[in-house]
This record gives sequence, C-alpha cells and structure tokens, in this order.
Amino acid sequence: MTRYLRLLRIFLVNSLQLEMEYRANFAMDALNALLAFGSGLLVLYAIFEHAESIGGWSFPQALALLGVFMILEGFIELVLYPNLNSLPEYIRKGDMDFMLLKPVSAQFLVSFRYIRLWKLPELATGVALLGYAMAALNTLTPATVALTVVLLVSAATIVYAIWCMLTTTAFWLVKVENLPEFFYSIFSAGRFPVSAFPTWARFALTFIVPIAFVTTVPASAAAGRLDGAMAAGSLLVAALALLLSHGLWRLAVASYTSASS
Amino acid sequence: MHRLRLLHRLFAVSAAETAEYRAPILVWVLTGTMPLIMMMIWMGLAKAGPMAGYEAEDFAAYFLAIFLVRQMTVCWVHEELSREIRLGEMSPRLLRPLDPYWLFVAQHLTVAAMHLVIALPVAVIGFAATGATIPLEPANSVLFVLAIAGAWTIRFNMLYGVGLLAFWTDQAAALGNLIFTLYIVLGGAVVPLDLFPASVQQALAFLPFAYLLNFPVEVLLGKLTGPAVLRGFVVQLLWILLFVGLRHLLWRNGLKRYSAVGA
Amino acid sequence: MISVKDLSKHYRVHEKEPGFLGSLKSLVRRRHRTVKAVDRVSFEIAPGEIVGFLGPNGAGKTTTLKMLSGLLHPSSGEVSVAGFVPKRRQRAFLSAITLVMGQKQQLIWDLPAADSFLVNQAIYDIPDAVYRRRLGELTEMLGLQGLLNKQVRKLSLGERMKCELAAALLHQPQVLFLDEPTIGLDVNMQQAVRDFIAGYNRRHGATVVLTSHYMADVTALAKRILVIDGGRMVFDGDFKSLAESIAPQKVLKLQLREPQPEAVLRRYGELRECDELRAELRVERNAVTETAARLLNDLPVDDIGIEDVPIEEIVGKMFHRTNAAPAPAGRVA
Repeated sequence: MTRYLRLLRIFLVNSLQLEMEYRANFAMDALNALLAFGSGLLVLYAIFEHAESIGGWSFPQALALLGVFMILEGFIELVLYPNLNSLPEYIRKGDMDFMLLKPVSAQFLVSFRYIRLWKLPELATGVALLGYAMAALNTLTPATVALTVVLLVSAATIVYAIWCMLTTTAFWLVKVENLPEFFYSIFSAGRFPVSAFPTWARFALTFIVPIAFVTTVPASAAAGRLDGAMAAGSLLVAALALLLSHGLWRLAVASYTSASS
Repeated sequence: MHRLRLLHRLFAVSAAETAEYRAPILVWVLTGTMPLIMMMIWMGLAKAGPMAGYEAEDFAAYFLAIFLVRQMTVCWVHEELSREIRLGEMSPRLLRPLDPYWLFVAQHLTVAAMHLVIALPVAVIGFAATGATIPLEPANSVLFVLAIAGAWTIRFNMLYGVGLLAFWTDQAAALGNLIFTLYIVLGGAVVPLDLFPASVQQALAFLPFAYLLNFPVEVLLGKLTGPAVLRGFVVQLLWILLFVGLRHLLWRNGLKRYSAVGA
Repeated sequence: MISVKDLSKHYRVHEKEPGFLGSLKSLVRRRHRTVKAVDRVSFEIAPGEIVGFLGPNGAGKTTTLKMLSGLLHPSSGEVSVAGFVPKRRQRAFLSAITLVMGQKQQLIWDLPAADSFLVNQAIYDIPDAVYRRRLGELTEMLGLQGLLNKQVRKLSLGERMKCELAAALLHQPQVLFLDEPTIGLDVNMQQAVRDFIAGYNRRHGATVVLTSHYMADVTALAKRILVIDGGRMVFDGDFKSLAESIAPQKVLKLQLREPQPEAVLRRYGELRECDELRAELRVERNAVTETAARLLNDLPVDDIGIEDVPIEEIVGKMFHRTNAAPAPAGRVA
C-alpha cells in the first residue's frame, strides 16, 4: 500500500515538472475553465428565464449540480484522459510490455502515470461554484460537506471504472479506440438532474450508464435533497464497478500475453 | 481537366479510406448526442406549457435538425494540422504540387457523408418517437442545402486557420477546442437562440457561430421570411470571405516561418 | 538458473486473400494457418553464464525472450527462470529479472533520466542507501556523469541506451534479458555497451541472455551461443567452433572507381557479386588484411569494407549441413 502511495506522490511530482515546461497550457486552460463556467451559467440563465425549475431543481440547486459536473469533468481531464486514453498507444509502441514487467499493478501504472496538473483551473472553478451554491442554499455544514465529498469520491470511482473498462477493450478491438469519447458525450447529460429527463432516459441513466450516481447524487447531498437509497446505491455501484474493471483488466492482460508477438 | 481528374482521384481515395474507418466513425456519430440530450431536457421543460412559442414538438424538430447539421459539418482539421505541423509531418506534403488544403477538404467531405449516412436513421427514429415534423417544402430544402454548404465552408476555413496557428504556437489545438465550446453554445446547439435574452441575441448576430448551426436549422424549419433568409446568406458569404482570406494569409506567412525554422 | 524444455509458441493466423472478393470469402469460410514462432526449443543455462541467442530476423529470438520474461504464455513446454514459472508473473520473479529492448525505452521522454530512476526505485522498493550506492556504481560503470539531469529527449541515442541500462539494473536483478541492445548504436557505443555487460556480469554474477543479429555482440560477450532459425534451435555450443567451421570467411565489399572485369576480381577471392562499380568478394579470414592491402594497391578502389558473413548465410549453411533437423547441444557435425 505504501508503495502505491509513494508512487502516486512521485507521479504527481513528475507531472508537475512536466507541466513546468508548458506554462502556456495552464493559461489556456484557465481561459477554458472560464469559458466552461460562463457558458454553463448562460445556459442555466436561459432555462430559468422561461421556467421555474428544472426537473424540480431550483436555480441554486442547479448551480450546485453544475459545480459537481465541472469537478468531475476536471477529474476526467486531469487523470483519465492523459492516462487510460493512451492505452492503445502503449500497446502499439511496446510500453505496455515494460509495465507488465514491473512488480506492481500494471493497471495502476497505466491509470496514474501522468496527471495533467494544468487542468486544475476547471476543477477549482467547479469547487468554487459548488461552495458558492451550498452557501446560497445554507447547506455549508461540516456534515453535508463531508457527505458530498464522500459521494464525489464514489462518483469519481464510478467514472474511472467505466472509463477503464471502455479503454481495456483496446486490447481486443483495434480501431474503436474512441469508445471513451462516447461515454464522455453521455456524461454531458450529467449537467442536468436526472429528474429532468423522460422516464425511459432516467432508467438508462441510472441502470445502464449510471450518470445519475455520478452527478445528481453528490449534488443532491450538497443541495440538501439527498435520497438515502441513492447514496447507498452510489457506494455499491462504485465498489461493483471497480471490481468489474479490475476483472476485465486481468482478462485483457491474460489475452494479451497469450496472443501478442 | 487535369484538376478535375485530380479532385476525382482525391475523393475516390478518401472514400476508400473512410470506408475502412466505419466503426470509429459510428462511435463519433454517437458522441454527437448532445443535441439529443438537450432535446429531452427542453421537451421536459415544455411539458408545463410552451416556452417562447416552442411546444415540445418544436423543440424536438429543432434539436433533431441541429443534430443533423452538426453531423454534416463535422470538422477536426485544426487538430490534424496542429499535429502535422508540430511533428514535422507537413514537410512531405509541401513537396507535392498540391495545396494540402484540398486533401483535407476531400477527407472531411467523405467523412461528413459517412456521418450523414449513419446519422440519418437515428434522426428518423427521433422524428418518429417525438412526433416532430419538418415542413419539407422544396424551396426550403434547396435553401437548406445552400445554408449547409455555407456553414461547412465557414467552419472548415475557420478551423483550418486555427490549425495553421500551429506555425506560431503549440496552443492551436487547445484554441480550437475553446472555439468548439463557443460554437456549441453560441450556435444554438444547447439553447435555441430564440430563448436567449434579447441582448445576447443581438450580440450573437456579430459572431459567425449562429450562422453555422442556428441559421441552417431555421431555414430548414421554414421559420425565416424571405428578407431574413437573404440577409443570412449575405452574412454567411461575408464570413466565408473573411475566413478564406485569413486562411490564405496564415498559410503564406506560416510557410515562410516554417521553412525559416527548418522543416 | 534457466531451464527450458520443449518450449513452443504457435499462433493461429487467419489467411485472407487480398481485395474485396477475398474479404467476402473470408466472411464465409476462414482459412487458418499455424505459425510456429518457436518450435520445441530446449536448453539449460547456469547461473552467471552469458549466453547469446543468434538468428536472423523473425527467427523466434524475441518471442523466446518474451516467454522467458513472462510477457508471453508458451503454447506448450516448460520454462523455469530463477526457480519461478515466468508466466505467473509473481512479484518476486519480476523483481529478479529485467528486460531491455533495443530501440524501445521505458524512460520518460520529457524528464531527466534521474526522475525515471526514482520511479523505479519506488516500484522496486529500493531503500535510499542501497539506491544511492547502486546508482553510484552504475554511473561509474556506464559513464553517466552529466547525463542524468538532462532531459532524455535531449540525449543522443547512445546516451539514452546507457541510461536505459542503468534504469533496468537499479534493482540488481539476477537475470538479464537483453533484446538487441546495441541495435542502431554506433561502433564505439556498441563496444561500450558490450564492455559494460561483461563488467556487470563479472561483478555481480548475473545471468545474461542476449539476443542479437550482430555477430560482434555475441563474439565479444558470450562463450556459448544458441542459434535459432525458423523457431528451431539449430546450434547450442561454443562460438569458436561454430565460427571456424561454418564461416571461415569474411566479406569484402569494394567500391571501384573504374569497372573491373570479373576475371581480374576473381584473382583475389571468391567473387559473389559484381555490378559496375561495386563488387563483393569472399576471402579466408586469415587472408583478409593481406588481400585488402593488395586490392587497394593493385586496383582503383575508392572504398573497401570488411564484414562478417551474414548470419542468414551461416545458419543457412548449417541447415544445409544438418539436413534441417534441430541439432542436439554440442558441436555441429
């Protein structure tokens, strides 16, 4: 365990050094975060100019949801995009072999080697927005904050597991390396509370691609309208998803070591 | 004549290449679901009553049309250009007596066609499921095709120019992605432009984005009067001239810089 | 240390005819072909030995090495390395071996090599004092002074290879698998790498299995070589006898200023190729320098190159001699 924590720290330090090389990236992403924030806000304004609530959520509650969405989008850009998405390249160039030769979990190495620290502005903006919304809703209490954080971690785990499973298919499927992009586009439905969608979509977003647990549930906690069953469900789904992703990974590696030349 | 045969060859090769990429293209089409998601949201909001004159079916028709327009004007040339310039892959292209622009055009048009082929059934299902309709008048359809052509040309040349900025900066691709966010929101793919506050709508008339998505859709849906349609085409033409001109400028200067630095 | 018995790796490959019709046909009925990348190879390697795997491209050297390091599952046969079954990839096994692949690198491109070393230190759980001592030793043996704090992408190919080797040996493995370690390097660097490997083996008693298609790599390092061709082992023994019996010649490549008649060239050796201003001769080893001097003296020679007989030829000759049957360990008849 300590070995992995130590590795994570080294990956962070290395990533920081790498980013020093590319300060312009940071400036660009700050601009990007501002834009994402601005456009997200504009859309909410437009909606609330014509409606009282969206799926039963008030404007400040919708803001909390936008904040949660931006935090998770930041997580995807910070950790998932620069690592798991490179898996097909690792396999092609032989880097995968080096990772399999190390006496640590190759899944860990592939998942966390590069952390794109210059994507922090978007994550930070999300946190700020969430904090602001919670203050407006009078839910900024230690208990609520703790609960929200727990559910955010659970949500990040679910997203990681799904992303990992989608990229692991790269071991078998050669051309459809853009599968995670498909997930990313469905993920954008998480900008809105799951109750704003028609029933069939609500079902799909809870049981098929569990976006409901990813954004709506943590935002519910922050907005003070948490459904206990959904919260428990989120933790369960996170645990299950993680187990599934690791199982699929091991299957993929077994297949790779049998078939590759 | 030689030109014609060259273009024909380019397209044939592009088409063959594109056919090889059916599977990932299918996935790319599926990633364009944002308009469909927005459609569900707005239809949900309209259940209580029409919003700014839009009933649920109106939202459905609008967003399904946006979905189709987006698929037909798909463009990623800024990423390709930025990568090729950065990695020096542009050099072999420059040795041939053909402006690489046309290669990218051929590639993008064949891919757009493939996108349309895959997206059309999705749209048809969408129309059937939501009960939305489009008043398919022949005049509107022709104008729609023209508007799409205009939108495609503007978007392609705009992003081509952004890609060419890679001659000067390594942030070209990131800039392109920024523009994408603006394009989606300010073009009307998330909120129909009619529903934006009046001040915002006025400001949007000065930006190209509305003419890339909202304008073709409104033409198709028959929501614009004669003069408005004409005005829209004129503005499209102006943007085309601007971006094509910019592209030429950037290309000439970029090449000078590229060969000075050493390809 | 390493024990291999009847090791095989077969691949099933689909055969598809080219073109559209071929695609249609393959939809209906798939034709399979079995490729035997490695075919019933057996050998034993004692601790501390340096063994060279020779063979032409595609012979099965890399595949064998990957099976020995656990990256590939054998189709059949038994493998045991340092007492472990490689394909199980147990942590203790992975900590006891290392695989270096020429032209492929594990160092992080945009950071100094030292940072990649720190990652390995954490991965292999090497205590700080031990790490510093080993790094010092490797720096001295490889001449890494001044290289470790430069970004890897700014190093030359040779410097990168040296850093790669250091990174691969920080955890002081008992078994070294080196796959084409000198490929692409200039002559001086190749020598440096060879010297290093020999020195490392002397100092630490590590077992080394080295593949190459350069004879010189193997001549310099290994007393024992295994020749693989077409997945089969065709020779296992010491090098001297192989070289002397199979390849008693050297290749002389000439670049001429004026074309010479073949009869003239034949006076100097066995003429293999003659093409306008280029010619290739085969000359007995001990007569090479003398013949080269004579050629330079007598004929209008612009450039002269002396090379070893290509592996493919040696092995081809061996096949010819042994009737394409895998030879038992020992000398070739």
